[in-house]
Amino acid sequence: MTKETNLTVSLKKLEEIVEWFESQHEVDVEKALEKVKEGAALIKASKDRLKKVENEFEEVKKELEEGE
Amino acid sequence: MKDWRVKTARRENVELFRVIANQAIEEISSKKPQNKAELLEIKGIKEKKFAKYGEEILAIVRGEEESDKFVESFKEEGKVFEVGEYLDFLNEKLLDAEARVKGEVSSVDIRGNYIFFSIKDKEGESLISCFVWKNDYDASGVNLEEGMEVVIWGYPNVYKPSGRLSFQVKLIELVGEGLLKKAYEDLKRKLEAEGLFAPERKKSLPKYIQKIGLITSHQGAAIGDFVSNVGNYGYKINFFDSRVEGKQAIFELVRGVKWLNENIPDIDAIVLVRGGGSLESLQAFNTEMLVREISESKIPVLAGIGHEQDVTLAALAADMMVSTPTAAALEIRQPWDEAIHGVESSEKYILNAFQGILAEKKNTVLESERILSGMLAEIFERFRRAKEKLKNNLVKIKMTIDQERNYLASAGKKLSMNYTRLFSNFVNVMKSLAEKIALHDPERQLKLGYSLVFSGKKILRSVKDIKLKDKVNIRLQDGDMETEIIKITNQ
Repeated sequence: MTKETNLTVSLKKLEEIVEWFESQHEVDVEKALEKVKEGAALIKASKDRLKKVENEFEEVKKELEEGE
Repeated sequence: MKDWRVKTARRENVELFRVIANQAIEEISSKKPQNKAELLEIKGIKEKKFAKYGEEILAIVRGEEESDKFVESFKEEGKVFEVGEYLDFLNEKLLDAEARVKGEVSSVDIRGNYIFFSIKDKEGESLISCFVWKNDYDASGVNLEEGMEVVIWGYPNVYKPSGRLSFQVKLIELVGEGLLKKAYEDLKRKLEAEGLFAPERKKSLPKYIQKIGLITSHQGAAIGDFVSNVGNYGYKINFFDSRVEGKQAIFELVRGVKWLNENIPDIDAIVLVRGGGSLESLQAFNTEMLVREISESKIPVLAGIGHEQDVTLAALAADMMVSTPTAAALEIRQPWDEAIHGVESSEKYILNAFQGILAEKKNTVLESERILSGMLAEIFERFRRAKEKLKNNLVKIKMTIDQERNYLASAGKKLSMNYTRLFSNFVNVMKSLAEKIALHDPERQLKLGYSLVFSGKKILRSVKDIKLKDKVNIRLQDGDMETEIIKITNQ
């Protein structure tokens, strides 16, 4: 859940950075560098999260007998 | 042991695992508990279970096959039963007569939480009296009407207080597509009117689904289709094995939804999948019980139930529905795949944009440099041109001065030459003028005896310029005299 939230947040932020670049006409290089650094961190985090990870598969019915 | 469980489950009208779990059965058969304490060590057996089944289980473990012993005891020669005792024996035996029976409904009597009805053959006179509990009846989703053709599942049972034999029905199914279709339409209308399929009821699924509650059968293609297409994004799949067709499917599906809601409430979505099938085979997904359970689920439900004609009511009640298990898997997978592409394209974009900015800045610097050097060059050029011009002008000025000087030099010569000529001319002219003047000198005329008459300063030339009594001066050779006019005579 937290991972998922982080991913959503990361992607949102990343999108904002892209939009920032799109909206700039007179770019402040210092600021752009800052944004690139921030973006790089987000990209790394998102990629880590999106790496192929084996799924956990568990059959739950076995736990059922205690359900009474 | 397993036989015992089957019989006990039937007797108590519960699911097998409600009696005792598979795992516990295996543990019992391997550990062979000999007493209460040992039996309680088995996972899944607690005081409550022990009170209910403890002695029976221990008897079985001791090899005393309780039920067999029970049955054996009736074979004693000359044994005389009491009524209740015999009916217990009989009902035990009758469990083995479980069957599906087809017939036409001939009477229906709904009484609170149970229903009596009977079915008979279309032709001939055979008839079975049936008994069904209300919850089993509701689960079947069939509204019994006389003349309806049905298949009933169950087993015979003698009701001890009355001694009457009736068929204990666990599930009623409609026979024939026509009736099924009608039942489907009726139920659909009813639930639709209640608003169970309304879009505003639907919960939205989280974008990145991670914890999944999967309900389907461990047999069949659906589970494979789903798992192999959902991708590997580290999902936590809690699989609830449920039959998806037939008698038990309804109960198991309903329990699956309920169980997941109660036990793993934090899962992102319940995924209910099954391959396609006829209306008849999908009956479990068209029952009111399942539809209600789905619409009450706190966890969003994604349905991927194949169908040949009509969308199942369970799918209509789900928060989202797609047409196959594979589609359900892709629905979950897609946002993850897109996120990867999104990240990669953002990465490219940001780097390109930054490089672009750097390149632009570099260009600006180069451009400024170019402009500056251009300006300097122009300044030098202008200076050079000014110098050139100045130089040219200086030459011109010098030439002009030289010209002027030459001109002046030559002009002086000309002038003195001209002047000499002019002067001698002048002298000659003056000479001749002097001669002419001397010739015409009025004084000379006066000497000759002519006189001049002045009126004031003017010389008089006509008598018209004078009148009587005017005074005039007369100049003679040697002096002037003043006279008055006394007579004027015109010639």
